[in-house]
Amino acid sequence: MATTACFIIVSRNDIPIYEAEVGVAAKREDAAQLHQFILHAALDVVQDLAWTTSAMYLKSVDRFNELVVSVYVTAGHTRLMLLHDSRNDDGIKSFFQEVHELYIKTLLNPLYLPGSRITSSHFDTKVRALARNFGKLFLLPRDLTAMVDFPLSIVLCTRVISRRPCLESYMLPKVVPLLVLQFVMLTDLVLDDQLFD
Amino acid sequence: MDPAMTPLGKMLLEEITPVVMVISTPAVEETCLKNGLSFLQMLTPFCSFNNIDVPVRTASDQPYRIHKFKLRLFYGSDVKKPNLKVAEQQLKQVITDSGEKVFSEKCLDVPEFNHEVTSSEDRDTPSWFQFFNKELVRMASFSDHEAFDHPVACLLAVSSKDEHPISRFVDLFNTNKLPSLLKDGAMDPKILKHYLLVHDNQDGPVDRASKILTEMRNTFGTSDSLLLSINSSLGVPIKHQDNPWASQIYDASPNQDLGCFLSIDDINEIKDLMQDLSSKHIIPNMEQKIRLLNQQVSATRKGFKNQIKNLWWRKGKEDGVDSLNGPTYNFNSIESQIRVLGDYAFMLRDYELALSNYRLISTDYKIDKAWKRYAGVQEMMGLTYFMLDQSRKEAEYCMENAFNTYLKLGLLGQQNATRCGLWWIEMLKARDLYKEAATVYFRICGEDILHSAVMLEQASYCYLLSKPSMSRKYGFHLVLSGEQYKKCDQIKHAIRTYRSALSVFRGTTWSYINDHVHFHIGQWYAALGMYDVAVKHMTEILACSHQSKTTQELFLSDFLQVVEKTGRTFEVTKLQLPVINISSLKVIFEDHRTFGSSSAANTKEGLWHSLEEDMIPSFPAAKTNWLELQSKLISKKHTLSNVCVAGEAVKVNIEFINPLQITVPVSGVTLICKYSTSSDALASDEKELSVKSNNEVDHFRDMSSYNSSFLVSEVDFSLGGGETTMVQLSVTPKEVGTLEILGVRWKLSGTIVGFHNFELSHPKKNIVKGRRKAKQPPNEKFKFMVIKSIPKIQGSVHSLPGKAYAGDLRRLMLELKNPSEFPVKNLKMKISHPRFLIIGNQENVKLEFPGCLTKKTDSERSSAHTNPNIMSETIFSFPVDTSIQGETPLSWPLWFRAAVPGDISIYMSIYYEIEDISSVIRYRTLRLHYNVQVLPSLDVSFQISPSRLRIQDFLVQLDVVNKTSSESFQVYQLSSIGQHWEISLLQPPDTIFPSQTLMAGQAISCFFTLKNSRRLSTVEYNISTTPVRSDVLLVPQCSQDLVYNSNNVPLVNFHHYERLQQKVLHESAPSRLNCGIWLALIAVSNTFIVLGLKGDELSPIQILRISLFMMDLGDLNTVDFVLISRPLNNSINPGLSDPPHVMSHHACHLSTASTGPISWLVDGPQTLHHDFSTSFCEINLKMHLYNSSGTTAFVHIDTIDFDRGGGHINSVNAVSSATPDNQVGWHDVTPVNELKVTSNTVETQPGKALSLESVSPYIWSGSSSTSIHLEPMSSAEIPLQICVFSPGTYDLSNYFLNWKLPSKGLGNSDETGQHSGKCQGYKYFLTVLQSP
Repeated sequence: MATTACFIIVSRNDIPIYEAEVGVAAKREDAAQLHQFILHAALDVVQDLAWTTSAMYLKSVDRFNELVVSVYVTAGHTRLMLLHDSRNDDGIKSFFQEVHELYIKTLLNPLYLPGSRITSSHFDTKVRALARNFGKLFLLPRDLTAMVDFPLSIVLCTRVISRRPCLESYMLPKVVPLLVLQFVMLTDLVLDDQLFD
Repeated sequence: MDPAMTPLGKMLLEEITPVVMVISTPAVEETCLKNGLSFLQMLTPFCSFNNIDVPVRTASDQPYRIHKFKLRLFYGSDVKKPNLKVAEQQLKQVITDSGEKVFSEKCLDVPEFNHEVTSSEDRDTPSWFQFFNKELVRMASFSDHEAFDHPVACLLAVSSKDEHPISRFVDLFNTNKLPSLLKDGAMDPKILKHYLLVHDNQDGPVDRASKILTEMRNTFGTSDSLLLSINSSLGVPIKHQDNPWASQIYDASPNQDLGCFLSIDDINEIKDLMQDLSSKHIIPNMEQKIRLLNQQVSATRKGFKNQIKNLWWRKGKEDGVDSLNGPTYNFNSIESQIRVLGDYAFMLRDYELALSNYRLISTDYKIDKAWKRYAGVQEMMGLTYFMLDQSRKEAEYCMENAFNTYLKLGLLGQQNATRCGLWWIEMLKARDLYKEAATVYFRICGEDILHSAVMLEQASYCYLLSKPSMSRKYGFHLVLSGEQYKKCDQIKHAIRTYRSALSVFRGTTWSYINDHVHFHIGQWYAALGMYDVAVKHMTEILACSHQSKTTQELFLSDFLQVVEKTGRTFEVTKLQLPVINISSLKVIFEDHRTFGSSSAANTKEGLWHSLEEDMIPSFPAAKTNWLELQSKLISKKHTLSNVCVAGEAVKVNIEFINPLQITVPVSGVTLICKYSTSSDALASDEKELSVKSNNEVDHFRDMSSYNSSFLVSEVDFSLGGGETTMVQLSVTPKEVGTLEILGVRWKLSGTIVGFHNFELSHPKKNIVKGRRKAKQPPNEKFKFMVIKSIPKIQGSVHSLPGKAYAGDLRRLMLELKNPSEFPVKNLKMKISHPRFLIIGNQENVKLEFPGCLTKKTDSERSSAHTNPNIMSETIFSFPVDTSIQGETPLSWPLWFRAAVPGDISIYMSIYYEIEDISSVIRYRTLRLHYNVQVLPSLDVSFQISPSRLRIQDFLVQLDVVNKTSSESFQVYQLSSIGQHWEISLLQPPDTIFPSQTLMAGQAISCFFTLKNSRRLSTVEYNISTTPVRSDVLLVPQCSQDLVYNSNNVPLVNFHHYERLQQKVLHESAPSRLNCGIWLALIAVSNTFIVLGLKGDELSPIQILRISLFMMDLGDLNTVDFVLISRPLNNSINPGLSDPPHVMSHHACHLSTASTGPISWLVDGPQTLHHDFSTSFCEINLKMHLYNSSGTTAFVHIDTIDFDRGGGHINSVNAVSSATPDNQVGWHDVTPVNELKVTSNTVETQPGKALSLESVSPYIWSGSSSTSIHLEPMSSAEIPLQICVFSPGTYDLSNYFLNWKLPSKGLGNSDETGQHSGKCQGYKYFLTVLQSP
């Protein structure tokens, strides 16, 4: 589970223009500054790394103990940084891409001065929603088989399969037969979509 | 790069050298102690040889030479694992000491972070790191798993004073006293022994010693027995120039002379002794051993057969003991021997040999799972690779492998891991891989907090040195290290690291980081009792709006606590709590502009400026000549700085924002001002600048002291979480001079005084009044020239309602007061919205309202009727003799009428001049501003249609809707403006308003007839008026039968502005008006000619009035109505404080002439009896024509017969169809409904008539077309005749009326007025019956 996740957008002038704690773990008092310290220090690494590749997504660039820093650098050298403690490259990549799109939309706002703090509540809720979605995905792939016998996980599995194409390749043979079995028995449960929220 | 020259290479050449075990008798030590040295210490400086040349031949046949060599001397008792506890304690002491030292050295300001400066390592890294690292490495020495710490030789020293020296030598090397390494069998106890006899020359001649030496030589062999005689300098202690021991002993007190009894000969003797020992004994011995061991190893392990055997044998051993340490190896086991071989080779710098042996043994240990030994060998492999300067990757891999393996061992491998890590780091550093080195430092951090603190700090420096330098990582690791220091109570170190980190983080906007660093530095300084510095750091974090509430509380309480501990009120220049919104800063001062209220002061200057433009005398911009140079200078000075008047307050509005979620008490908010008399103003300017740059706080403190020449207001308030408060501060100068507002000061929580300087921090000012913004230097904006007191009028408008219904008419009273003793004169006034507010006459004051509005029976003020006091220009000049002074206020009536619904801002400006000429300010203006909310009340609309009964009669439909939600009104009176319209009701009022009221939301309609009573054919200025009934009461006649006079002040004035307003609306649409205006212009020009003869009694204003009047008159076909209504007294909403009395609604420019200027009426019998048996019937009709325009009109009437065929109709059609193109010719664009003159209806009309079978045709029997010229304002009659052939009802609308006005050569192409038109006749039914 993505217990810790701190998302931050750093402008080209190294000024944080958006900060959000998107993890589900109970917030510790000193967490905020620690996260800032780690992310701030990771800028040093990004600074070098960004020019070595043409890709925007730099994967994980730095780590501090259990915490990993993944970075996405836009063409304008705005850095989207995510501090997280679970590994899910695909999820994080798509998270970054979606946020990048949101960020571009924000930039298109004629009243937004590029490089200034993003105060839009719309942006904030969207980012948090995205983080929540991917937060679920952070959780699943690793423990999928272990959870199959648990009815709820069936529901989750169907969701995951529908969302994550990469999963099908190796998970389906194991998951699908079980799914079919329990699907019939738990149809009403499956239909109850509210279980996710 | 030569690896031996790198720091690591040097270190290895010093640290991995042969160890000589020294064992001495107490007598030897005693002898040496005379010099302040132990025996070991005495020898040590002479153990490193930088300039020897020893040939070495190890395993290979090729000899090589060693130029540098070193021996390490250890007492026998020290050849064991160091005591960890003691070592730790020692290290801690070192750190603490250095902490104190560095802290006291460091000046209190943080060094600026600079990339240039940090280029060299020595400069930035604390020197004690080297020592600390060395100690850490030493903590891992004398381990049994590696052989380079094993003594290669033993030096036995016995004094010549000792009894039985030979037996002492034997006793000394007693196995019981030997170190555990030798005893346990970890190493070969048979080592090289050297016997040294020490003789003290002070004790006597060398004779005895020589004797013993010969004895020794006999016993131990010639080469191994030596004599050393010391202390040969007699009596006088010697001072050695560069004391070789000085660098050795750390705790040596400077006055102690080390080696004071050692003469030069003695020292040389020691030198020779040690050199002999190393080059003649130790090195050859090692060579020999290497060769021996190499032979053994080759025999047992080299070759294919041996390898197979070894492998098989190891495999078999696998299921043996599997302890953490692996199996123990005896010194004579082959593994130990290989290791010894490798180490010896390493020490003799035959790295190739060493490496091959390490490799060999490495796999063995790995298979045996002897992890510690394996790690040790890997470590050595790495170092060997490094020294060979080949395969860097391999070297690093080995080091990492060793490091990881040590780490896996846990506590056992802790010291080794640290040592290995440090070597690894040095290796990386030597290759400029600082970044990697930093990560290794990070990994070294283990359980021990203090160690990890030091390691983290070293890591941070590595980040700084890496290329490109990673300053953020540097900062982060410094902070991490600081935290560790703090955990083991090294507060000074913690502060030091945080302060260094601050240089990185300063200026960043990473808020949490800044808060963390500043808060902790502050806290730690406070713990050390340095409260001033603590407060300085703590103030940085006060405005932490992003933190949680608890954190904010913690910050603030800690801060207050620290401040409390300082024991005085603290003064801070840039206190961030509360935040001052500098953009909200507004300075309100009154020079020649004075304000009636704060809202007036907040109004834009431009608005006032445009209002006052033509009221204020304009000063000539350029002075006339050079003679006025002096005055120019003065005026320039005046224009540069703002002017304020002594005794009048200068107000400053500032917004205070509390960024926190907790309540903050703020008290004693005052302005900091500086007063100087005008003479010393310039001098103080200079002084002040220097003072400012020197010490801001002190400067402010001086300024805030009590000053008698001005008064400042003090404000206390409490700011809740997130609140914003606008505070008005004022300063009142009392004397003439210069006043400058420097800033604002306030007290937070009663202890901390905050300052905010307006100028220094924010050069850009939002000053409201400054007209010359661009020119003014920033300092001048807050500088005021105080001039002596001059009169200031205070004024207000009484009883102006805040809320009113549209149409509400009131009389208000303007009251002006002049509290000063000087009189003012030449008062003028201007109002921004004359439609809402007009100025009355002095006599209006006495009149009773609303009674004064009603018509008196005796029309004594007829002059007012004919020449109403309409002011075209809005400046009102009070009578010349008006002077306000002292107690008695001046009251002046104003008329207010809520013209249109909405929020209305009314601005008034009153100008007055000061009689005192000597003053700088000669005139002043008083600005008043009022807001009125006007609510919708009645919606009035009129519709006028011509009457068909009489020419010049009209039918008026009045629709009134009550738009209010709750009010009821009484529609009282309808009046037409001007004297030539007469109106009368069609029905009695009772039938229209049975209840006499108009309830909320109710709508009514009523009808009037309107009659044009003007009988005029000539244009004349004064139109003779016969009294006509222009007012109609809409209520039943009752006792208080009052008719409001709509032609009297103020109704007529308001009507005038309504007309102006509504005209604009009308003119935007095409209208008939222009015709009339055009006429009026002609009339005016005529009047000029006529009146010009009469002389000079007409002023231009009067002419303008005449012309306006004529224009009014010119609108011959428009009518203006005023509807007067009254609220019902009992129904008024109590929310309105002052209920309205009279409401007037004005409707202007209502056109009556819907068909053009020509109106006509067909007059004839309605019903007729005729005997058709005798003849057809001829009927005579009359058409009355009236020209309501001012010019002669040409009228042409066409009659159409049905049976005249389509030819004529077709021609009409052709003309009609041309009208949309607006071609020349007859056309009509009048969209009048009842006449249906569009081309469609013209077409269908005859057809419709034809289809009516019952209608028998008739023919126009008179002339088929008649043309006449119709004089202006005159009527004419045209006879018409029709012939009817059978009885029936006939519609006599089959004629067209064309009219044309002469264009008078004014052929404006854009003339929208109509010059011609064509109208179809309206329906007129005639019934002809067969007479009986």
